[in-house]
Amino acid sequence: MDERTRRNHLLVWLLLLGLLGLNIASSFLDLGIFNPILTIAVAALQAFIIVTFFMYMRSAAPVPRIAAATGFFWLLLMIGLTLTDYQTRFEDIALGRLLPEPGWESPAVGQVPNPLSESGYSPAHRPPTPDAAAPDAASGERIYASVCIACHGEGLGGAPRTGDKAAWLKRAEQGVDSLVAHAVNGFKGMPPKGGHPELSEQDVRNAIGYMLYASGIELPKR
Amino acid sequence: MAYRSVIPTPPEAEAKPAPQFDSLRQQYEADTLGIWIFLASEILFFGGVFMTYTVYRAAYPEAFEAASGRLDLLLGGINTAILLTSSLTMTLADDAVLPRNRKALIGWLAVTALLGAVFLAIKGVEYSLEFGAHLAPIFARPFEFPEPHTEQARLFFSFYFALTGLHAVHLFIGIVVVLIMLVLAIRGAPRLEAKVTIAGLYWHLVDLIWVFVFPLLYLAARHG
Repeated sequence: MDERTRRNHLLVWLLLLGLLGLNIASSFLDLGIFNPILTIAVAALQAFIIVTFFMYMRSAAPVPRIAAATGFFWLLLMIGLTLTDYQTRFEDIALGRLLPEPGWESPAVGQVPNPLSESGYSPAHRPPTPDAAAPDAASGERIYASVCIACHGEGLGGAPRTGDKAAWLKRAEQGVDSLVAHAVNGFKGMPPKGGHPELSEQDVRNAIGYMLYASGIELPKR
Repeated sequence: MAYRSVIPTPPEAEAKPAPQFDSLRQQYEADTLGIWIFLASEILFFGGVFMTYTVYRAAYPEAFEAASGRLDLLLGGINTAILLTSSLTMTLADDAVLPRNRKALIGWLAVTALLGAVFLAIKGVEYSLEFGAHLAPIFARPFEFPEPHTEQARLFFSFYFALTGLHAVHLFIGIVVVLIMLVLAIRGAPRLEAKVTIAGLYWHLVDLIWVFVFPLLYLAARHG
């Protein structure tokens, strides 16, 4: 190869090293959200340079070009659609709840039976919120202990006391969904979500599931 | 628009195409197409891991930042520069094939394989540091990371070992391929241009993948 080609390759290499330096330097600056955007943009530029010059895409025939472009096209499609989906749909990931929250301890097997299951609760095989519709008494117990207990512990202000089977049975007959709707929206002396708007509907459902269980009421199986 | 075959094509008088091809140029275009279809599948293979990593990093930004800060930025940066340089030497080896500059070809191929081996050696040093610091959640090793990010950091280091491990396997294969080219060149095998160029395309792709692995893993932390 002639001298000019060699010089071009050296320039491409220097450019790549320069971009690497820029990328490392940017990690020492606080650019907020632009830190990850900048580093990935610089990496994409490096990749473009490598593909264009070191991988000769600049002078490739049309068919290999299409094959290469197809790979990157499918990659963008895969990443774009997946991230769109995860960032807009999956509530738990938006809340950072893919893993158990710090401090969450799974109860020992058998300690808190699932009111919906005859075989009993086996926390080792269940994520904190396994089924969007089914109450999860284990995580409900935490919410009960920090929120609901204020009134439902002693039965203040007309609230059914936890453990009072007759009082809860009367309400459980309306169906769990109706109980959840009342607790979420407020009903008589029950303030909406017990005055804690940060709770999700599922949280409320779990807490109700726990209080029913603790009052000795078996929910019908679905 | 004018284009040439990616593989430097010698004059027809010097070499005949395989019987199923009309011309050497057509044969080399088919070779290029074949390796690019393989490389595109590799891009998607690593792309899946990159994507999963991004989903989890978006879920746990602080934990991933804290975990990334435990990686060795200096060694990682040196390794990135080594790999970029190895792409240059691979290109220089490719440049030497058609002018029949056998000495340059042998030399640059040897330097390329050597740089790849140095990369793996430095990666090994990094791994041993991380094993020693109990940051490797693999092979039932103890894993220690301060609360409250312990579990999320375990996730980050699982990604770290999966991504760098997969990359190291690819690089090892690349070194073997370059060494085979080296042996062929030393023996004076004819018609090396297609083989060396295609080995080079694979080598550059392994480099390209690292170009994304490095910022995703090492630069997730703020170092200032």
